[in-house]
Amino acid sequence: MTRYSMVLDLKRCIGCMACTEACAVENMTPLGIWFAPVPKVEVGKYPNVKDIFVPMLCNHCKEAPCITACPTSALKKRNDGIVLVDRDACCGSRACMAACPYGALHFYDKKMRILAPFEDYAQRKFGYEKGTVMKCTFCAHRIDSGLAKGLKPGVDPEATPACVVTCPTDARIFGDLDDPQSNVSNLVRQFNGRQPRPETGANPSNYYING
Amino acid sequence: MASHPSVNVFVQRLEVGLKTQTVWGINHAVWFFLMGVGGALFITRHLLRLNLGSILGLNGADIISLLAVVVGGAVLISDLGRPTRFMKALRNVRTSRISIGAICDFVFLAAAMVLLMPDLEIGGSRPFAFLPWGGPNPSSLVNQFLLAVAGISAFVVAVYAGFVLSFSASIPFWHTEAVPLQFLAYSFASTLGIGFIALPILGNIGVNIKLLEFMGILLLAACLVLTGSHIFNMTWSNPASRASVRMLIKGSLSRTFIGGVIVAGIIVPMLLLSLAYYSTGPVEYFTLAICGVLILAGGFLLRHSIMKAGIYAPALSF
Repeated sequence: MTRYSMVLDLKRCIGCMACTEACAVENMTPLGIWFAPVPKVEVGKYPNVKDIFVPMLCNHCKEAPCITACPTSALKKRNDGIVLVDRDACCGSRACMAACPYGALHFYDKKMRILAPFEDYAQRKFGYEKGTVMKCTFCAHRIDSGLAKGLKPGVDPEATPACVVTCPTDARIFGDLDDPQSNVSNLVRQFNGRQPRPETGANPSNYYING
Repeated sequence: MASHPSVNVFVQRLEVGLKTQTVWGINHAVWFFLMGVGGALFITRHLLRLNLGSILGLNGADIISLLAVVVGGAVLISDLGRPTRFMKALRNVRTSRISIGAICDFVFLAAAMVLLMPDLEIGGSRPFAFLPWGGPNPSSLVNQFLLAVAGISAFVVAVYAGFVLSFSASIPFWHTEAVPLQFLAYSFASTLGIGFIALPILGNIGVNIKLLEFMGILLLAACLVLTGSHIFNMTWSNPASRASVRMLIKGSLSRTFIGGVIVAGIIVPMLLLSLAYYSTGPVEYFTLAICGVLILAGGFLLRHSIMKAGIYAPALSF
Protein backbone atom coordinates (compact mmCIF):
# COMPACT_ATOMS: atom_id res chain seq x y z
CA MET A 1 0.00 0.00 0.00
CA THR A 2 1.22 3.52 -0.77
CA ARG A 3 0.90 6.42 1.62
CA TYR A 4 2.36 9.63 0.27
CA SER A 5 3.83 11.85 2.91
CA MET A 6 5.91 14.99 3.25
CA VAL A 7 8.64 15.51 5.81
CA LEU A 8 9.26 19.15 6.69
CA ASP A 9 12.68 20.01 8.08
CA LEU A 10 12.32 23.00 10.41
CA LYS A 11 16.07 23.45 10.67
CA ARG A 12 16.49 23.84 6.93
CA CYS A 13 13.50 26.07 6.20
CA ILE A 14 14.63 29.67 5.76
CA GLY A 15 11.20 31.18 5.13
CA CYS A 16 11.88 32.20 1.54
CA MET A 17 8.32 31.10 0.62
CA ALA A 18 9.39 29.91 -2.78
CA CYS A 19 7.22 26.88 -2.08
CA THR A 20 4.20 29.10 -1.38
CA GLU A 21 4.69 30.84 -4.69
CA ALA A 22 5.46 27.66 -6.62
CA CYS A 23 2.28 26.08 -5.33
CA ALA A 24 0.21 29.12 -6.25
CA VAL A 25 1.67 29.13 -9.76
CA GLU A 26 1.40 25.37 -10.24
CA ASN A 27 -2.19 25.19 -9.00
CA MET A 28 -3.29 28.64 -10.17
CA THR A 29 -5.04 29.25 -6.90
CA PRO A 30 -7.36 32.23 -6.51
CA LEU A 31 -5.96 35.47 -5.15
CA GLY A 32 -5.59 35.13 -1.39
CA ILE A 33 -5.67 31.33 -1.22
CA TRP A 34 -2.37 29.70 -0.31
CA PHE A 35 -2.18 25.94 -0.08
CA ALA A 36 1.37 26.01 1.29
CA PRO A 37 1.89 29.00 3.60
CA VAL A 38 5.05 29.33 5.71
CA PRO A 39 4.21 31.21 8.90
CA LYS A 40 6.88 32.50 11.25
CA VAL A 41 6.63 31.18 14.79
CA GLU A 42 8.38 32.46 17.86
CA VAL A 43 9.71 29.65 20.03
CA GLY A 44 11.52 29.50 23.33
CA LYS A 45 11.33 31.57 26.47
CA TYR A 46 12.96 34.92 27.09
CA PRO A 47 15.90 35.46 26.82
CA ASN A 48 16.35 32.36 24.61
CA VAL A 49 13.82 33.22 21.96
CA LYS A 50 14.08 32.66 18.25
CA ASP A 51 11.91 32.69 15.17
CA ILE A 52 11.45 29.60 13.06
CA PHE A 53 9.62 29.14 9.80
CA VAL A 54 7.06 26.36 9.70
CA PRO A 55 5.87 25.18 6.30
CA MET A 56 2.22 24.21 6.48
CA LEU A 57 -0.03 22.36 4.09
CA CYS A 58 -2.76 19.76 4.05
CA ASN A 59 -1.63 16.74 6.01
CA HIS A 60 -3.71 14.23 4.03
CA CYS A 61 -4.61 12.57 7.29
CA LYS A 62 -5.26 8.87 7.52
CA GLU A 63 -8.35 9.50 9.68
CA ALA A 64 -9.22 12.77 8.02
CA PRO A 65 -11.90 14.65 10.01
CA CYS A 66 -12.82 16.60 6.88
CA ILE A 67 -13.95 13.39 5.18
CA THR A 68 -16.02 12.43 8.23
CA ALA A 69 -17.64 15.84 8.45
CA CYS A 70 -18.43 16.38 4.78
CA PRO A 71 -22.16 15.82 4.23
CA THR A 72 -21.89 15.23 0.48
CA SER A 73 -18.90 12.84 0.59
CA ALA A 74 -17.09 15.30 -1.70
CA LEU A 75 -13.84 14.66 0.14
CA LYS A 76 -12.32 11.31 -0.70
CA LYS A 77 -9.09 9.56 0.14
CA ARG A 78 -7.29 7.83 -2.70
CA ASN A 79 -5.52 4.51 -2.33
CA ASP A 80 -2.21 6.36 -2.19
CA GLY A 81 -3.39 8.45 0.78
CA ILE A 82 -4.03 11.72 -1.06
CA VAL A 83 -7.26 13.45 0.01
CA LEU A 84 -9.03 15.21 -2.84
CA VAL A 85 -12.16 17.31 -3.23
CA ASP A 86 -14.73 16.23 -5.79
CA ARG A 87 -15.90 19.68 -6.84
CA ASP A 88 -19.00 18.36 -8.58
CA ALA A 89 -20.16 16.96 -5.25
CA CYS A 90 -19.13 19.88 -3.00
CA CYS A 91 -22.10 22.00 -1.95
CA GLY A 92 -20.03 24.57 -0.06
CA SER A 93 -21.26 23.77 3.46
CA ARG A 94 -17.75 24.39 4.87
CA ALA A 95 -18.24 21.65 7.44
CA CYS A 96 -14.80 20.35 6.47
CA MET A 97 -13.25 23.73 7.26
CA ALA A 98 -14.75 23.70 10.72
CA ALA A 99 -13.53 20.13 11.28
CA CYS A 100 -9.95 20.47 9.99
CA PRO A 101 -7.47 21.05 12.85
CA TYR A 102 -4.86 22.49 10.49
CA GLY A 103 -6.77 25.11 8.50
CA ALA A 104 -5.87 23.26 5.32
CA LEU A 105 -9.14 23.84 3.48
CA HIS A 106 -10.09 27.03 1.72
CA PHE A 107 -13.40 28.34 0.51
CA TYR A 108 -13.45 29.76 -2.99
CA ASP A 109 -15.76 32.63 -2.23
CA LYS A 110 -17.82 34.07 -5.04
CA LYS A 111 -16.16 37.43 -4.36
CA MET A 112 -12.68 36.07 -5.03
CA ARG A 113 -10.94 36.10 -8.34
CA ILE A 114 -8.03 34.26 -9.86
CA LEU A 115 -5.47 36.55 -11.42
CA ALA A 116 -6.62 37.15 -14.95
CA PRO A 117 -5.87 36.13 -17.70
CA PHE A 118 -5.41 32.65 -16.17
CA GLU A 119 -8.83 32.42 -14.63
CA ASP A 120 -10.60 30.58 -17.42
CA TYR A 121 -7.65 28.26 -18.03
CA ALA A 122 -7.30 27.45 -14.32
CA GLN A 123 -10.98 26.76 -13.98
CA ARG A 124 -10.87 24.45 -16.99
CA LYS A 125 -7.69 22.65 -15.95
CA PHE A 126 -8.44 22.22 -12.25
CA GLY A 127 -12.23 22.43 -12.30
CA TYR A 128 -12.33 25.26 -9.78
CA GLU A 129 -15.84 26.36 -9.00
CA LYS A 130 -16.83 29.35 -6.95
CA GLY A 131 -18.76 28.35 -3.86
CA THR A 132 -16.76 25.16 -3.29
CA VAL A 133 -13.83 24.20 -1.14
CA MET A 134 -10.27 23.68 -2.34
CA LYS A 135 -7.07 22.32 -0.81
CA CYS A 136 -3.58 21.07 -1.38
CA THR A 137 -3.61 17.95 -3.54
CA PHE A 138 0.08 16.99 -3.16
CA CYS A 139 0.09 18.02 -6.86
CA ALA A 140 -1.77 14.81 -7.67
CA HIS A 141 -1.82 15.78 -11.34
CA ARG A 142 2.00 15.80 -11.39
CA ILE A 143 2.18 12.51 -9.48
CA ASP A 144 -0.31 10.81 -11.79
CA SER A 145 1.31 12.02 -15.00
CA GLY A 146 4.75 11.13 -13.61
CA LEU A 147 3.65 7.61 -12.67
CA ALA A 148 2.18 7.16 -16.14
CA LYS A 149 5.63 7.89 -17.55
CA GLY A 150 7.28 5.47 -15.13
CA LEU A 151 8.74 8.19 -12.90
CA LYS A 152 9.00 7.96 -9.14
CA PRO A 153 7.28 10.59 -6.93
CA GLY A 154 9.70 12.13 -4.48
CA VAL A 155 12.67 11.23 -6.65
CA ASP A 156 11.89 12.48 -10.14
CA PRO A 157 10.99 16.20 -10.12
CA GLU A 158 8.32 15.83 -12.80
CA ALA A 159 6.39 13.45 -10.54
CA THR A 160 6.95 15.42 -7.34
CA PRO A 161 4.88 18.26 -5.83
CA ALA A 162 5.96 21.71 -7.00
CA CYS A 163 6.73 22.95 -3.49
CA VAL A 164 9.19 20.11 -2.93
CA VAL A 165 10.92 20.64 -6.27
CA THR A 166 11.26 24.39 -5.72
CA CYS A 167 12.62 24.35 -2.18
CA PRO A 168 16.22 25.62 -2.34
CA THR A 169 17.27 24.09 0.98
CA ASP A 170 15.59 20.68 0.61
CA ALA A 171 13.45 21.43 3.63
CA ARG A 172 10.60 19.50 1.99
CA ILE A 173 11.01 15.81 1.30
CA PHE A 174 8.33 13.75 -0.37
CA GLY A 175 7.88 10.02 -0.53
CA ASP A 176 5.98 6.88 0.43
CA LEU A 177 5.62 6.54 4.18
CA ASP A 178 4.47 2.94 3.85
CA ASP A 179 7.80 2.02 2.24
CA PRO A 180 10.20 1.52 5.17
CA GLN A 181 13.19 2.15 2.87
CA SER A 182 11.90 5.42 1.44
CA ASN A 183 13.56 8.76 2.14
CA VAL A 184 10.62 9.99 4.25
CA SER A 185 10.54 6.82 6.36
CA ASN A 186 14.27 7.03 6.98
CA LEU A 187 14.09 10.68 7.97
CA VAL A 188 11.17 10.15 10.33
CA ARG A 189 13.05 7.32 12.02
CA GLN A 190 16.41 9.03 12.09
CA PHE A 191 15.24 12.41 13.37
CA ASN A 192 12.27 11.28 15.46
CA GLY A 193 9.71 12.98 13.24
CA ARG A 194 6.63 14.43 14.93
CA GLN A 195 3.12 14.80 13.60
CA PRO A 196 1.35 18.13 14.07
CA ARG A 197 -1.40 17.94 16.72
CA PRO A 198 -1.42 14.17 17.09
CA GLU A 199 -3.98 14.50 19.92
CA THR A 200 -6.74 15.17 17.39
CA GLY A 201 -6.58 11.54 16.27
CA ALA A 202 -6.44 12.55 12.62
CA ASN A 203 -3.13 10.69 12.07
CA PRO A 204 -1.61 13.24 9.66
CA SER A 205 0.69 11.91 6.97
CA ASN A 206 3.17 14.78 7.24
CA TYR A 207 5.97 14.87 9.77
CA TYR A 208 8.15 17.65 11.13
CA ILE A 209 11.81 17.12 11.93
CA ASN A 210 14.75 19.17 13.13
CA GLY A 211 17.30 17.76 10.69
CA MET B 1 -3.69 46.96 -2.52
CA ALA B 2 -2.81 46.93 1.16
CA SER B 3 -6.47 47.12 2.06
CA HIS B 4 -7.59 44.55 -0.50
CA PRO B 5 -9.47 41.80 1.36
CA SER B 6 -7.39 39.09 -0.34
CA VAL B 7 -4.22 40.57 1.14
CA ASN B 8 -5.75 40.48 4.60
CA VAL B 9 -6.60 36.81 4.05
CA PHE B 10 -2.97 36.26 3.06
CA VAL B 11 -1.74 37.85 6.27
CA GLN B 12 -4.21 35.91 8.35
CA ARG B 13 -3.24 32.63 6.76
CA LEU B 14 0.37 33.27 7.67
CA GLU B 15 -0.42 33.74 11.32
CA VAL B 16 -0.03 30.80 13.61
CA GLY B 17 -1.75 30.64 16.90
CA LEU B 18 -5.31 31.25 17.93
CA LYS B 19 -7.67 32.10 15.10
CA THR B 20 -11.35 32.93 15.36
CA GLN B 21 -13.51 30.86 13.06
CA THR B 22 -15.06 32.79 10.22
CA VAL B 23 -16.43 29.78 8.36
CA TRP B 24 -19.94 30.02 9.72
CA GLY B 25 -21.84 33.19 10.60
CA ILE B 26 -25.27 34.61 11.34
CA ASN B 27 -27.05 32.33 8.87
CA HIS B 28 -25.91 29.30 10.81
CA ALA B 29 -27.02 30.89 14.09
CA VAL B 30 -30.48 31.46 12.57
CA TRP B 31 -30.53 27.86 11.29
CA PHE B 32 -29.56 26.47 14.72
CA PHE B 33 -32.22 28.58 16.42
CA LEU B 34 -35.09 27.79 14.05
CA MET B 35 -34.33 24.05 13.94
CA GLY B 36 -34.17 23.90 17.71
CA VAL B 37 -37.40 25.80 18.17
CA GLY B 38 -39.21 23.90 15.41
CA GLY B 39 -38.29 20.45 16.65
CA ALA B 40 -38.83 21.19 20.33
CA LEU B 41 -42.16 22.96 19.73
CA PHE B 42 -43.59 19.92 17.96
CA ILE B 43 -42.65 17.68 20.88
CA THR B 44 -43.90 20.14 23.51
CA ARG B 45 -47.19 20.68 21.70
CA HIS B 46 -47.95 16.95 21.62
CA LEU B 47 -46.68 16.18 25.11
CA LEU B 48 -48.46 19.05 26.85
CA ARG B 49 -51.36 19.31 24.37
CA LEU B 50 -50.46 22.92 23.78
CA ASN B 51 -53.09 24.76 21.77
CA LEU B 52 -51.90 27.87 19.92
CA GLY B 53 -55.07 28.55 18.04
CA SER B 54 -56.20 27.14 14.74
CA ILE B 55 -54.74 27.91 11.32
CA LEU B 56 -56.31 26.08 8.37
CA GLY B 57 -57.80 23.64 10.86
CA LEU B 58 -54.40 22.77 12.30
CA ASN B 59 -52.97 23.62 15.70
CA GLY B 60 -50.96 26.84 15.49
CA ALA B 61 -48.10 25.14 17.34
CA ASP B 62 -47.79 22.52 14.59
CA ILE B 63 -47.83 25.21 11.90
CA ILE B 64 -45.16 27.27 13.66
CA SER B 65 -43.07 24.16 14.20
CA LEU B 66 -43.19 23.14 10.54
CA LEU B 67 -42.57 26.68 9.34
CA ALA B 68 -39.58 27.09 11.65
CA VAL B 69 -37.96 23.93 10.28
CA VAL B 70 -38.71 24.89 6.66
CA VAL B 71 -37.43 28.44 7.05
CA GLY B 72 -34.37 27.23 8.98
CA GLY B 73 -33.57 24.81 6.22
CA ALA B 74 -34.06 27.50 3.59
CA VAL B 75 -31.69 29.84 5.43
CA LEU B 76 -29.04 27.13 5.57
CA ILE B 77 -29.46 26.21 1.92
CA SER B 78 -29.13 29.86 0.92
CA ASP B 79 -25.83 30.00 2.83
CA LEU B 80 -24.30 27.10 0.92
CA GLY B 81 -21.66 27.89 -1.67
CA ARG B 82 -23.65 25.87 -4.21
CA PRO B 83 -27.27 25.90 -2.97
CA THR B 84 -28.60 23.88 -5.92
CA ARG B 85 -26.59 20.90 -4.66
CA PHE B 86 -28.25 20.79 -1.24
CA MET B 87 -29.78 17.36 -1.87
CA LYS B 88 -26.25 15.92 -2.06
CA ALA B 89 -25.92 16.77 1.63
CA LEU B 90 -27.93 13.63 2.39
CA ARG B 91 -25.18 11.31 1.16
CA ASN B 92 -22.85 10.83 4.09
CA VAL B 93 -25.21 9.49 6.75
CA ARG B 94 -22.53 7.13 8.01
CA THR B 95 -20.38 9.86 9.55
CA SER B 96 -21.66 13.37 8.82
CA ARG B 97 -23.92 14.88 11.45
CA ILE B 98 -25.19 17.40 8.92
CA SER B 99 -26.34 14.54 6.70
CA ILE B 100 -28.07 12.76 9.56
CA GLY B 101 -29.75 15.99 10.61
CA ALA B 102 -30.79 16.85 7.07
CA ILE B 103 -32.43 13.44 6.62
CA CYS B 104 -34.25 13.84 9.92
CA ASP B 105 -35.42 17.27 8.77
CA PHE B 106 -37.08 15.71 5.73
CA VAL B 107 -38.45 12.75 7.70
CA PHE B 108 -39.92 15.10 10.30
CA LEU B 109 -41.53 17.35 7.70
CA ALA B 110 -42.95 14.41 5.77
CA ALA B 111 -44.22 12.51 8.83
CA ALA B 112 -45.68 15.62 10.48
CA MET B 113 -47.42 16.77 7.30
CA VAL B 114 -48.90 13.33 6.66
CA LEU B 115 -49.96 13.12 10.30
CA LEU B 116 -51.71 16.49 10.11
CA MET B 117 -53.28 16.09 6.68
CA PRO B 118 -56.68 14.71 7.84
CA ASP B 119 -57.26 17.86 9.91
CA LEU B 120 -56.28 20.31 7.15
CA GLU B 121 -59.07 22.68 6.21
CA ILE B 122 -59.15 24.28 2.80
CA GLY B 123 -62.04 26.55 1.89
CA GLY B 124 -64.17 25.33 4.78
CA SER B 125 -63.83 21.63 3.95
CA ARG B 126 -61.39 18.90 4.90
CA PRO B 127 -60.33 17.21 1.67
CA PHE B 128 -58.19 14.64 3.50
CA ALA B 129 -60.65 13.74 6.24
CA PHE B 130 -61.05 10.30 4.66
CA LEU B 131 -57.56 9.37 5.84
CA PRO B 132 -58.01 6.85 8.69
CA TRP B 133 -55.54 8.35 11.15
CA GLY B 134 -57.32 11.70 11.57
CA GLY B 135 -60.36 12.81 13.54
CA PRO B 136 -60.95 14.16 17.05
CA ASN B 137 -59.77 11.02 18.86
CA PRO B 138 -57.17 9.45 16.67
CA SER B 139 -55.91 6.27 18.21
CA SER B 140 -55.15 4.21 15.16
CA LEU B 141 -51.86 2.41 14.83
CA VAL B 142 -50.97 4.52 11.83
CA ASN B 143 -51.53 7.69 13.81
CA GLN B 144 -49.36 6.43 16.65
CA PHE B 145 -46.66 5.36 14.22
CA LEU B 146 -46.62 8.71 12.41
CA LEU B 147 -46.56 10.53 15.71
CA ALA B 148 -43.64 8.44 16.92
CA VAL B 149 -41.68 8.96 13.69
CA ALA B 150 -42.39 12.69 13.69
CA GLY B 151 -41.58 12.94 17.39
CA ILE B 152 -38.26 11.10 17.19
CA SER B 153 -37.16 13.00 14.11
CA ALA B 154 -38.28 16.26 15.75
CA PHE B 155 -36.01 15.47 18.68
CA VAL B 156 -33.08 14.89 16.34
CA VAL B 157 -33.92 18.13 14.50
CA ALA B 158 -33.87 19.99 17.83
CA VAL B 159 -30.54 18.62 18.96
CA TYR B 160 -28.37 17.83 15.91
CA ALA B 161 -27.21 21.40 15.38
CA GLY B 162 -25.38 21.16 18.69
CA PHE B 163 -23.78 17.90 17.61
CA VAL B 164 -22.63 19.49 14.36
CA LEU B 165 -20.65 22.00 16.41
CA SER B 166 -19.43 19.53 19.01
CA PHE B 167 -17.90 17.35 16.29
CA SER B 168 -15.22 19.98 15.56
CA ALA B 169 -12.15 18.81 17.46
CA SER B 170 -10.30 21.76 15.95
CA ILE B 171 -12.41 24.25 17.95
CA PRO B 172 -12.09 23.15 21.61
CA PHE B 173 -14.84 25.49 22.85
CA TRP B 174 -17.34 23.65 20.66
CA HIS B 175 -15.89 20.17 21.19
CA THR B 176 -17.94 19.20 24.23
CA GLU B 177 -21.28 17.52 24.98
CA ALA B 178 -22.27 20.70 26.80
CA VAL B 179 -23.04 22.39 23.47
CA PRO B 180 -25.81 20.03 22.27
CA LEU B 181 -27.21 19.89 25.81
CA GLN B 182 -27.38 23.68 25.96
CA PHE B 183 -29.00 23.85 22.54
CA LEU B 184 -31.59 21.30 23.61
CA ALA B 185 -32.41 23.06 26.89
CA TYR B 186 -32.69 26.46 25.21
CA SER B 187 -34.87 24.94 22.47
CA PHE B 188 -37.42 23.68 24.97
CA ALA B 189 -37.23 26.93 26.92
CA SER B 190 -37.94 28.79 23.68
CA THR B 191 -41.07 26.72 23.05
CA LEU B 192 -42.40 27.81 26.42
CA GLY B 193 -41.49 31.34 25.40
CA ILE B 194 -43.70 30.99 22.34
CA GLY B 195 -46.52 29.79 24.58
CA PHE B 196 -46.06 32.78 26.88
CA ILE B 197 -46.25 35.19 23.93
CA ALA B 198 -49.39 33.49 22.60
CA LEU B 199 -51.17 33.58 25.97
CA PRO B 200 -52.29 37.26 26.03
CA ILE B 201 -53.35 36.94 22.37
CA LEU B 202 -55.33 33.70 22.71
CA GLY B 203 -56.30 33.86 26.36
CA ASN B 204 -56.04 30.10 26.73
CA ILE B 205 -53.39 27.79 25.34
CA GLY B 206 -54.80 24.54 26.66
CA VAL B 207 -52.24 24.08 29.44
CA ASN B 208 -52.27 25.02 33.12
CA ILE B 209 -50.44 28.35 33.15
CA LYS B 210 -48.94 27.89 36.58
CA LEU B 211 -47.50 24.56 35.45
CA LEU B 212 -45.92 26.25 32.42
CA GLU B 213 -44.50 29.00 34.60
CA PHE B 214 -42.99 26.46 36.96
CA MET B 215 -41.56 24.47 34.05
CA GLY B 216 -40.19 27.68 32.62
CA ILE B 217 -38.35 28.49 35.82
CA LEU B 218 -36.90 24.98 35.95
CA LEU B 219 -35.84 25.03 32.29
CA LEU B 220 -34.21 28.42 32.62
CA ALA B 221 -32.39 27.24 35.72
CA ALA B 222 -31.16 24.24 33.72
CA CYS B 223 -30.01 26.57 30.93
CA LEU B 224 -28.12 28.68 33.46
CA VAL B 225 -26.44 25.65 35.00
CA LEU B 226 -25.50 24.14 31.64
CA THR B 227 -24.13 27.41 30.28
CA GLY B 228 -22.33 28.19 33.49
CA SER B 229 -20.70 24.78 33.70
CA HIS B 230 -19.66 24.96 30.05
CA ILE B 231 -17.98 28.31 30.63
CA PHE B 232 -16.40 27.12 33.87
CA ASN B 233 -14.96 23.95 32.30
CA MET B 234 -13.61 25.85 29.31
CA THR B 235 -11.94 28.42 31.58
CA TRP B 236 -9.61 25.73 32.88
CA SER B 237 -9.09 24.02 29.57
CA ASN B 238 -6.63 24.75 26.75
CA PRO B 239 -5.60 28.23 25.49
CA ALA B 240 -8.13 28.29 22.63
CA SER B 241 -11.02 27.55 25.00
CA ARG B 242 -9.79 30.15 27.45
CA ALA B 243 -9.62 32.68 24.63
CA SER B 244 -13.22 31.83 23.72
CA VAL B 245 -14.34 32.33 27.31
CA ARG B 246 -12.46 35.63 27.49
CA MET B 247 -14.23 36.78 24.34
CA LEU B 248 -17.59 35.97 25.90
CA ILE B 249 -16.98 37.33 29.36
CA LYS B 250 -14.70 40.30 28.75
CA GLY B 251 -14.21 40.69 25.05
CA SER B 252 -16.14 41.64 21.95
CA LEU B 253 -19.05 39.29 22.72
CA SER B 254 -19.45 40.19 26.40
CA ARG B 255 -22.38 42.54 25.87
CA THR B 256 -24.22 39.97 23.76
CA PHE B 257 -23.43 37.06 26.04
CA ILE B 258 -23.65 38.55 29.53
CA GLY B 259 -26.31 41.12 28.67
CA GLY B 260 -28.31 39.22 26.07
CA VAL B 261 -27.98 35.54 26.98
CA ILE B 262 -27.47 35.50 30.75
CA VAL B 263 -29.23 38.60 32.06
CA ALA B 264 -31.95 39.25 29.50
CA GLY B 265 -32.32 35.67 28.34
CA ILE B 266 -32.28 33.82 31.67
CA ILE B 267 -32.14 35.88 34.86
CA VAL B 268 -34.75 38.52 34.03
CA PRO B 269 -37.22 35.91 32.65
CA MET B 270 -36.71 33.79 35.75
CA LEU B 271 -37.54 36.78 37.94
CA LEU B 272 -40.52 37.68 35.78
CA LEU B 273 -41.79 34.11 35.84
CA SER B 274 -41.50 34.07 39.62
CA LEU B 275 -43.48 37.33 39.71
CA ALA B 276 -46.07 35.93 37.29
CA TYR B 277 -46.40 32.73 39.33
CA TYR B 278 -47.86 34.77 42.18
CA SER B 279 -50.05 37.02 40.07
CA THR B 280 -53.10 36.57 37.87
CA GLY B 281 -54.99 38.30 35.08
CA PRO B 282 -53.58 41.00 32.81
CA VAL B 283 -50.49 41.59 34.93
CA GLU B 284 -49.57 37.93 34.65
CA TYR B 285 -50.23 37.80 30.90
CA PHE B 286 -48.26 40.95 30.21
CA THR B 287 -45.34 39.72 32.30
CA LEU B 288 -45.37 36.38 30.55
CA ALA B 289 -45.40 37.99 27.11
CA ILE B 290 -42.28 39.98 27.95
CA CYS B 291 -40.76 36.82 29.35
CA GLY B 292 -41.46 34.97 26.14
CA VAL B 293 -39.77 37.59 23.99
CA LEU B 294 -36.71 37.66 26.24
CA ILE B 295 -36.43 33.86 26.30
CA LEU B 296 -36.58 33.67 22.51
CA ALA B 297 -34.02 36.44 22.14
CA GLY B 298 -31.75 34.76 24.68
CA GLY B 299 -32.01 31.44 22.85
CA PHE B 300 -30.96 33.00 19.56
CA LEU B 301 -28.16 35.03 21.12
CA LEU B 302 -26.77 31.93 22.83
CA ARG B 303 -26.35 30.17 19.51
CA HIS B 304 -24.89 33.30 17.95
CA SER B 305 -22.44 33.79 20.81
CA ILE B 306 -21.22 30.19 20.84
CA MET B 307 -20.73 30.33 17.07
CA LYS B 308 -18.82 33.59 17.14
CA ALA B 309 -16.67 32.52 20.08
CA GLY B 310 -15.35 29.49 18.22
CA ILE B 311 -11.57 29.76 18.16
CA TYR B 312 -9.31 27.22 16.46
CA ALA B 313 -6.60 25.68 18.61
CA PRO B 314 -3.16 26.46 17.18
CA ALA B 315 -2.53 24.32 14.12
CA LEU B 316 0.90 23.49 15.39
CA SER B 317 1.74 22.20 18.81
CA PHE B 318 5.11 20.67 19.35
